[in-house]
Amino acid sequence: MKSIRKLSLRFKTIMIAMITSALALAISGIFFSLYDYQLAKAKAEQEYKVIATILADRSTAALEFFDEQLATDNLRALNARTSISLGCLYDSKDRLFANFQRPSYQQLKCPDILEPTPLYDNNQFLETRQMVILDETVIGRLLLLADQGDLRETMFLHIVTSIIIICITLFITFLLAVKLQAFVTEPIKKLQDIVIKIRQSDNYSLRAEKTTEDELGDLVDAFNGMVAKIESDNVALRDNEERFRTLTASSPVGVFQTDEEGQYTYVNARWREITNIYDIHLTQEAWIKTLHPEERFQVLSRWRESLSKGEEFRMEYRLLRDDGEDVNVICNAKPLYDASDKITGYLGSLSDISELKSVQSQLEQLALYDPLTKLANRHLFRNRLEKAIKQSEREKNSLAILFLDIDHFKKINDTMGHDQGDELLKAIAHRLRFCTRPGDTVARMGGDEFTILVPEIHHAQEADAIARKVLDVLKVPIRLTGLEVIITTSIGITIGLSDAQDANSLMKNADLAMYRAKSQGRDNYKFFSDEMNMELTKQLAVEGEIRQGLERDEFELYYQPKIDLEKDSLIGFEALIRWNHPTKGIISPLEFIPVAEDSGLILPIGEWVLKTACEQIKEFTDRGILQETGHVAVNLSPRQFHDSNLVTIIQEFIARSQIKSNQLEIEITESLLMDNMESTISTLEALKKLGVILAIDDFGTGYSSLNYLKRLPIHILKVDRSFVTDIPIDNDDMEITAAVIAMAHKLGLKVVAEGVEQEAQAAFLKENNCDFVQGFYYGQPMSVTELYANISNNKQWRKL
Amino acid sequence: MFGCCICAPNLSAAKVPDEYDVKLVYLYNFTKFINWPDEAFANQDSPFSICIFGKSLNGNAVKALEEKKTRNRTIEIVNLTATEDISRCQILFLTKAVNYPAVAKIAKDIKTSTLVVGETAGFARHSGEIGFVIDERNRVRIEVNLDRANEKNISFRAQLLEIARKIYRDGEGL
Repeated sequence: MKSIRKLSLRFKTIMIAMITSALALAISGIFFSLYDYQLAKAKAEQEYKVIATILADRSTAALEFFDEQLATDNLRALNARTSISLGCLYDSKDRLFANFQRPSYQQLKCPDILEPTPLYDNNQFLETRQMVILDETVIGRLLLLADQGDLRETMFLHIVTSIIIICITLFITFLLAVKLQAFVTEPIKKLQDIVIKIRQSDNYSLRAEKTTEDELGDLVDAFNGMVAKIESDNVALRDNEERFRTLTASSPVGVFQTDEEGQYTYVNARWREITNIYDIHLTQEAWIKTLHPEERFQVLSRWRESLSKGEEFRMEYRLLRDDGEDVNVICNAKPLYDASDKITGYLGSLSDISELKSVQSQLEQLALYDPLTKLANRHLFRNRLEKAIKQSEREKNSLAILFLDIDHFKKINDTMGHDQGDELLKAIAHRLRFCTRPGDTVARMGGDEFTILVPEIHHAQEADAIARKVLDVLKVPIRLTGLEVIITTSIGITIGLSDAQDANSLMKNADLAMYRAKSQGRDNYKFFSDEMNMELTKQLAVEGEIRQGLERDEFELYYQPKIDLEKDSLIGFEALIRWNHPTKGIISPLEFIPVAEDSGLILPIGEWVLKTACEQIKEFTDRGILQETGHVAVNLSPRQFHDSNLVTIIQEFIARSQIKSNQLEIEITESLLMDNMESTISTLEALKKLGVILAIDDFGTGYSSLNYLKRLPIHILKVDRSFVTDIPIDNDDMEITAAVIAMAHKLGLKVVAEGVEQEAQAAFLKENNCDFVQGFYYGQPMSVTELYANISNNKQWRKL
Repeated sequence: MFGCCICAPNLSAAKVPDEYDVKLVYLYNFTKFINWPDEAFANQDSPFSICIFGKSLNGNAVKALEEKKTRNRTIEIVNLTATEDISRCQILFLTKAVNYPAVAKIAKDIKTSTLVVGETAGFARHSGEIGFVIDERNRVRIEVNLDRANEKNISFRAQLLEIARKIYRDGEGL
């Protein structure tokens, strides 16, 4: 079969025609020969039968009258039929009666007794038997033996004639096929020539000539259509390629293409710039040489893995160029497939990400480190702490957290200025790093708070040693530009994982211990203890109760009268909060306000106070207890004051309770001012704009500079009760009080003195032109009910 | 020739054929090769009568013949003693025992379609329709007179004529 396939179409066409004709002729020849033979045979048989019948009839008398001579003479008539070679006549007892024998068949002989079986059981002779019947009685039998040689001869002649005809026909067929196959093969040959020409010249504008309108013509049309499509595709492809080259040539990204084995087949200019490889014949080896030796193996194995698996390659790696420059690159290559999904190579990009990397590391620095001190920030510290906790869990050892707070840093900062404060923090950070081990983490948590994480300790004593060292190191005077500062620190220490098991609790513990250290006189360290925890628990319980109290409306405002000394009349009240605890009775604000301040509950409490005060101002005004020029003072905690919603809330309450805004007086402590002067001033300005009266509470206890005081948009200064209490015994206090009053008046401020308990104090204050006073002497803080009861009897504050 | 040589010993080997036995077979065979008119028979079932005059033929050959049938008729062999009964015969065989004048007279008197067979010399020519002759090889042969048979409405089949030594016709035998 393979050899047939290799044969030319021309040969095949001819062969098909020849085989077909030969087969047709052979089959028809054989059929007709056989048919002729059968026909001739049947005819001969018929003829013999007739001859036999006639002879038999003719032989009746001879048989009946035993006339052999006559019978023999009758049989002799067979001589005329040359094919009959033997004729035998038998009597009724099948005995031979007469016979005829052709001299040319000497070997044949009539048997003496006729057997029913054929004489010669072969095809050469045709045997005919005929009964001789007379008067319905069989009186003998006649047997004729005819040589079929004639028939065979005729058939043989037929076959020979057929073969000769077949040969002649085949020859004619061959001649015709040779001539006619050109109709089929010629156009195909032409088409083939065009295909070869196109392939050799790569000229797809060539077209095949259409010579016929049959299927071959259609083939030519289809072929031309295909070539036209290829031609247009080629143009599109060239355009694409052109576009790709133009694009990549100007690309800021390095672009490269490799074959399926990774050999470079194309790189753009930028790729060369990045790699600093300018060889004209680019090899994979040149690229390998450029890989950073530290990463070369890794990059190559990844690249080769991608090649072998036909996967996308994506990797960040470093190059060490031959000019000595270290370049960070990101390479991304994807396999290219041909139509049969076989990988033909890779197309990829190479980007220089060195800058990105450095920016990234800077960002990391920013995200994880404090920009001022370069210490870890809260975030990083937290991460390290969590890691350390896990490690401790695994290795069953301990860790320590030291929580540091610089004593009175705010004051230092305020007095020396922020720049110096920053320098100080830097110096502190430096010292802290100095006195810790490399594995420890020193972090700045914000402001003047620092933490030290010691991830691996075996005894609490180790933490103790570190704390003492820190205290000592920080106590050494720090020299800043122009001055020397001595600072002290309070340190809280907690040991994990015995004190607590999670980061939050540990931090809280350390914080708590630090506060304890602070409350115990600063410049020392305290280990966290269960007792602290219990205090914490207690505090948490109080928090819960406060929440409950708010819900159950257990809080109440008490009012302490405030007297205008000049007019000797009631000018207003100071609202003071009281907690009517269902089981503990009345609880002082001193007990629960710090807790509320810590927990943030001060916000809802403060809101409640403001709301209630506004409502009651309205009530007082309506009852005539409070003049429209009078005012009720409400204390704001620092946290409340810094709440961004404060101004909105106050505005809303004033509007809702329909009071005059100057009937509400807001008191803030002097210490609050120092936290953030600028934002404090802007909040105060906003409040002042509302028309609210603003007062500084506890004036004289803090470090307010007069300069700042001048800038504050306030109306009233409230002299701290500590100055008033010692009047008239302490001359200094009297002097300060008088000076404060005088100074306030100079700044255009009113002065309130609180804690007035004696007549002498009242007299002194009046003498020094103090504007307003409040105290037991004039009236204790009282509930609204008491207030209403006492208001008719206002002799109490008219003692003077 | 060849067949004869085989035939003759065979026949003789079985039984030496008596001349009259052969003639009897001949007489019987005549019934097959000769056609009589229907008037020759009394009716459909009447037997084929072969009458012998001048000699009484009996024995096995006669018995064998009488068991046979020819042309759907039974055969009876009648040994005639007088000429009165001739009319019933389809075949009358006048043996040598009958002298010539008697033969001529009997033959002449016959008006029915009775085939007259004789064995005297020139019988076919002068007296009857068929005459037995003995040939040079001592075999029984026949001579036929067609004219006489025609007169009697008796026809011969060609096969019979083939074996005849001599056929008289067109006045030859008159």
